[in-house]
Amino acid sequence: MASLSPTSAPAGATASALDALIALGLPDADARRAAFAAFEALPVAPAPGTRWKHDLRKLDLGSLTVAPAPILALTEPVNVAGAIVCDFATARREHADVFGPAYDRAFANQTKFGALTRAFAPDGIFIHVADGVKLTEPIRLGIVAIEGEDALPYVIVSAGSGAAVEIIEMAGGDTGGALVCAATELVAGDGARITYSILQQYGPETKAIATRRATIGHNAEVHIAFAAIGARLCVEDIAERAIEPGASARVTGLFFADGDQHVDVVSDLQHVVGSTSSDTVVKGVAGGRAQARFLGNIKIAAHAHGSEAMLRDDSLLLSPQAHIDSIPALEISANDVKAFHGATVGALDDENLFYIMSRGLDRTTAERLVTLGFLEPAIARFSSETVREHLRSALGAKLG
Amino acid sequence: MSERGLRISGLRVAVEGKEILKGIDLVVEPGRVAALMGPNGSGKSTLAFTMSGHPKYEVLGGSVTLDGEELLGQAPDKRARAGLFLSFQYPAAIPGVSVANFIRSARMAVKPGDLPPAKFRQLVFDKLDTLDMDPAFLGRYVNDGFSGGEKKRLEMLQLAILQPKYAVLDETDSGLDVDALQAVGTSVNALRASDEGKDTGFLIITHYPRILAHVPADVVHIMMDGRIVKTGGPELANEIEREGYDRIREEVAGGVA
Repeated sequence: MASLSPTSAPAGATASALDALIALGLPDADARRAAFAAFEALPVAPAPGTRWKHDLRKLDLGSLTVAPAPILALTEPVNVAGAIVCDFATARREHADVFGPAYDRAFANQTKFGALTRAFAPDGIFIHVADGVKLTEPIRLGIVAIEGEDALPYVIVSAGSGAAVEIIEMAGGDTGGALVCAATELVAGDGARITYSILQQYGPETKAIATRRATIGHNAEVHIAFAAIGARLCVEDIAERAIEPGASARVTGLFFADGDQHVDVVSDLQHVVGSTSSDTVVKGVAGGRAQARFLGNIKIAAHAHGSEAMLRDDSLLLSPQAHIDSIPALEISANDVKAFHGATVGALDDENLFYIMSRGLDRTTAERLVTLGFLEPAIARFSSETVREHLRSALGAKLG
Repeated sequence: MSERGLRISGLRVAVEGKEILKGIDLVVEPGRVAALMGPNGSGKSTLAFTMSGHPKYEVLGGSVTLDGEELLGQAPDKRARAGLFLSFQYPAAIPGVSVANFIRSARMAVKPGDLPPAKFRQLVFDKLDTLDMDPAFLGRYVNDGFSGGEKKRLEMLQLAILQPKYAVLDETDSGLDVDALQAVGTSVNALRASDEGKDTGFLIITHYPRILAHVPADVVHIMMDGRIVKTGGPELANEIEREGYDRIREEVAGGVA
């Protein structure tokens, strides 16, 4: 990959730029060209008939310049028997038998931006946990955005039968306006459990778009939990498919936008077969002139009887100029299912603030308590206490 | 020393343009218990909220001083830091904020840095014990899903931990069963018997005299239609127990006529 120096890397999300990069040594030429074809063919919109709140068509992809050095890295090496945790180049070389099939699933090609990542990402992180192996310590990934450089972090995770793995992705740094376009693909085999937690704390100019896709096998569980705190523009496009009976799909979303931040969240949980469950909790706070939207889809296929779906989203507005749209969409084609949806939108309650202030706490502190309290049920769903504490302090710091 | 006490004078207050308090004069002395009794709608809670600085209540005139310091015009948190505590009739729920976190933050705001964490913890557990409260309470969210009795116990726990100079108990006895009422009485009396609380002055606002059987009042004021119409000793509460408010109402009406 040494040949991919910034001066020789051609710019732009174009076929000729991709050809030139392949000529310079990028592997998987056919897969990249297929991804690029998907990128060109797919609409910007998250789903037919919808569009992003923030108009992503305005993104300038013509001058896309991908950072040659991967900004995605393992925080520390993982040496556990039965677990492969390495970059794509190593995986391709040393673990082709498991990397090949995982890479070829190409979930990223389901969305325009995921396909962009797959086409142009110089490398990625591959995590494979063998059948029956349960990791006791989380795997930590770090993403550090670099000023002026677009980045395409690509993570593929596969967990074998009965395997268990928790991954914590900490994202920070600032691109100064450039794009971080991430793709995450998760496959949970029978009885497997994957927890993927994202703490996004980019600087104020970063534009971050993430496509996250998961399939969940028999009696398996995938839980994607994200906390979006930073970035000028943050898009989380999450889909989990429960494809075998007993599969459990979970999503936790937490965002806190202020100033001129934009947050766009789509969660799409699909009950492909019966006796599957899904559980979505999203808590969003917007202050300043922040704009946010949550589109929560639940699809229960015909004949997916005995499925249970729970969708809960709550929004808190801290200023009259802030705005959060909450759009639930339950598409239920089977009869014998249980589906629950609840949503609230509110502002800070004066009676609550008065009560807290009557105990000697000033208004700013009272507002912080109420806001952190509002987010706490989402924080509590993050599986690691270290992450929860980190989140509370990051949110507290942002509240001033 | 003449200015010590929680002193309300000539207080007139309107809510949404309607005058509710029509000139209240009342003094709560340090270490003493004053009762404010009256029928529903007489303005008792308005007085409590006005003293604490609720923004809905518009002060038309008068003053409220705490040991000489004017409270009116100050933010609610400043009044609390000056030493005033209000036990709410309907305490607000704060989902996601644990009781432990809340009382710790409140204590630090009112009495900054006066207790090391270990001592603070000891204080909390002592007070939980006095109030016959399960320590599991500390992990619950403030008033979230609490029963009426649990809410009042939490108010009393805060009173015991914040150790104010003056405490206003707004209908703390309403809706309580005998055990909870007993716990409230024990808690107030325990505070009054302690070094930290022996100078605390209480204003107990109540419709019914029964709380005064647990916490005897030194002085009883009767409020009707936004005015204090009668002031007397503890026997006045007994009179109301026996005869209700009607006789006093007639007495007042007769006096005017």
